[in-house]
Amino acid sequence: MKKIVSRIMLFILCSCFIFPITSFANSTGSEFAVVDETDILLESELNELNNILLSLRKKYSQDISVVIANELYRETAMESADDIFDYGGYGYGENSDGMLLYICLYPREYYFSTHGSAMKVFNRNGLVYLEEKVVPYLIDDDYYGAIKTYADTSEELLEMAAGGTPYNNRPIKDILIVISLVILIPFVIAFSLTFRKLKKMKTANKQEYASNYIKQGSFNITRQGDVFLYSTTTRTLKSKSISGGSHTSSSGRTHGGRGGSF
Amino acid sequence: MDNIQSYKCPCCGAALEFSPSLGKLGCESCGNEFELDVLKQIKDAQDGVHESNYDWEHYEPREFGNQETKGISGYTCPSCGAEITGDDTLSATVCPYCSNATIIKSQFEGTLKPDFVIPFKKDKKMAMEEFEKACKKAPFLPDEFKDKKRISEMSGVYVPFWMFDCDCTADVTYNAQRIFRWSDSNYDYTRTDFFHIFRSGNVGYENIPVDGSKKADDNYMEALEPFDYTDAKNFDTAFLSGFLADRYDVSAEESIERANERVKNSTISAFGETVCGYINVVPVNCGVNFSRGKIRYSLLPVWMLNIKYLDKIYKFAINGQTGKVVGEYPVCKKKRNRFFYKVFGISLTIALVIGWLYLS
Repeated sequence: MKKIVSRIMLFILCSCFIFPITSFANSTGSEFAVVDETDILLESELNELNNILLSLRKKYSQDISVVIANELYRETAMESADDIFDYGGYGYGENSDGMLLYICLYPREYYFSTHGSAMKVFNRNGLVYLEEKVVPYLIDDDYYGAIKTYADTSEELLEMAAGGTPYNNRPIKDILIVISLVILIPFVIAFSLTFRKLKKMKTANKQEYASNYIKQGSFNITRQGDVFLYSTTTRTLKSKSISGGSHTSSSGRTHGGRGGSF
Repeated sequence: MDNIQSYKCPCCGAALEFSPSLGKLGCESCGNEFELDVLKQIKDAQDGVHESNYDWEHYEPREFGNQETKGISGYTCPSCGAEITGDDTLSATVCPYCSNATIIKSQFEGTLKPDFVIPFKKDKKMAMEEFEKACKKAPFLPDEFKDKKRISEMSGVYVPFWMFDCDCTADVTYNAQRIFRWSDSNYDYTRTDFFHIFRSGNVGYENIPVDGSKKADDNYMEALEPFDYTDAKNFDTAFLSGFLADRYDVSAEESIERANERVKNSTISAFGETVCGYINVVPVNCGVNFSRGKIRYSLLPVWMLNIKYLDKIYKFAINGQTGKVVGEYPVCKKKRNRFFYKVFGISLTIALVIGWLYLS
C-alpha cells in the first residue's frame, strides 16, 4: 500500500510540469488524503487517518490533506506545499477549496497551505490555533498524533465556519503582548523626553576631558597597531513560525498559510 | 643561555603552549590559538605602556609690590567666611558665594599676585541678558522665577584658577570588537572579532584650568569652560576696578590631582579617536609621561548670581568672557508633569490606534 502511495506521489510530482492546473479543475480531491512518502506511519494508521480526512471532505466540502516527505521539493516548505496542492490535484470543487499540511523530515519543517474558501475557514488566527495543537506532536516525532490532532482541530474549525462564524480569536499571548506594548512604549517615550528636558535644568556639570586645551598641531601618533586576537561565532535559531499570509504560488494561484520548523 | 620567553593568553591569562603541528601557541584553558608574531606585538605594546609619570614644576608664588596694592581692600563675609579682594571704592555689596549683604571691609593682606587675568568682556547688563536668554531655554522653569527683581544682585568676581601646561608622551592600549551578522534559512549568525589595539604618541596641553577656590563650586567652574586665552593679560590691579577678586585657598599642589585626571582622560579620548571601525572600544592601559609641566596662577571672570526661591538658594555662574550660563534651575513640578502626561497621552492614543488596527 505504502509503495503504491509513494508511486502516486512521484507521479504527482513528475506531472507538476506536464499537466496544466486546469486538468485538476472540478476535482473532488485526491483519493488519498494522507500521503506518506517516508513510511513513517503504520499502514493501519495511514488507513485510519485517510478515512477520517476523507469523511471531513465529504461532510464539509473541504479537502483536508497531509503529505509527509523526506525532503523539500522546492526551496521552502511553503513553495513545496503550494506546488503539491496546485499540481497534485488537491482541493475540493470548482474553487479547489482545501488545506494541505506538508511535513518535511529533512529539514524538519511544516507548512499549512490553504486555498479557496479554506483561506477564510483557516484564517491567520485559525492557523495559529491549529499550529499550537499540532506542532507539539511533531516535535515529539508523534506523526500519527499530529495528523489525528490536525484532523480533529480542522473539524472543530470547519464546524465553527459551518455555523457562520469562523474561528478568529487572537492568541491570548498576542493580545497580552500588544496591550503591554501599547502601555509601555508611550510611557518610555514620555519618560525619556521628560528626562531629556530635565537634564537642561542642570547645566553645572563637571568636565571630564580637556580636549579644548590640546595645543594645535601637538597631537601625533608615533606607533600604532591593531592586533587581531580571536573570533567567536554564535548562532540562534530563527523564529519557528512563518506566517505566509496571503501569497501567490508558482502556478499563479492565491494561497494562505502558515509554517515553521519543529 | 637566554631565558625562555613564555606568553600568556591575551583572552584568559592562562599560560600558552606551543603546538608543533599547528605552528602556533595554543591556550588549553579557552581553546584559542595565536601566531607567535601576534603575541610578540601584544607583548611589545604592553611593555611600551609605562607607569604614568606626571612631573609638574614647583609653583613659586609671587608677592604684590607695595605700590601695587594701593587702593585695594580686603572684604570678609561673616556668613560663609569668604575672603575677597576689591578696590577701595567698592560700595556696599553682597557676598558672591552666599548672598550675605553684610560683608566687612578689612585690611588687604595675604593675597598673592596672579600671573595673568582675563578681563570681563560682558558687563552686568549683558550678563543679565545672557541669563534671561538661558532661562528661556530652561523648559520647566517656574514663571515667578523669571521675576527681574530676583536677579538684580549679581556680582562680578575674578575667580582664582591654576593653569596647567604640559607636553606628554603617551602609550594607550584598548580592547575593541568588530561584529558581523548574517543569516541563512534556519539560523541568525553573529561573529565577534576581538582586537588588541595600541597607540603611542605625543600630545600637548595648554591652560587646563583647575578651580583654586574652595568657595566656588568645581562643577560650576568647569562647566563655565572654555575661556579664550588669547584675551589673557598680565595682571594689573586696574582690572579689579568695579569687581571682586577671590583669592586662592586651594594650593597648586592640591589642584595637581584634578589636572592629572583631566590630562589622562583627554589623552585616552584623543588617542581613542584614532581607533576607527570598531565598537566597544575599552581603554585597558594608559601611560602618560611628561616632565617640567608648567603651573600658573590666573584670575578668570565670572558673574555670580544667587536667587532665593521658595526658601532655597539657586546658584548660577556666567562666564564673564563668553556669556555661557551654568547653574541648577528650580523645576516647576506642574509644568514637568503636564509635559509628561501630554507626551504620554499623545503616544498612548497613537499606540492604541496601531494596537487596535493590529488586533482587529
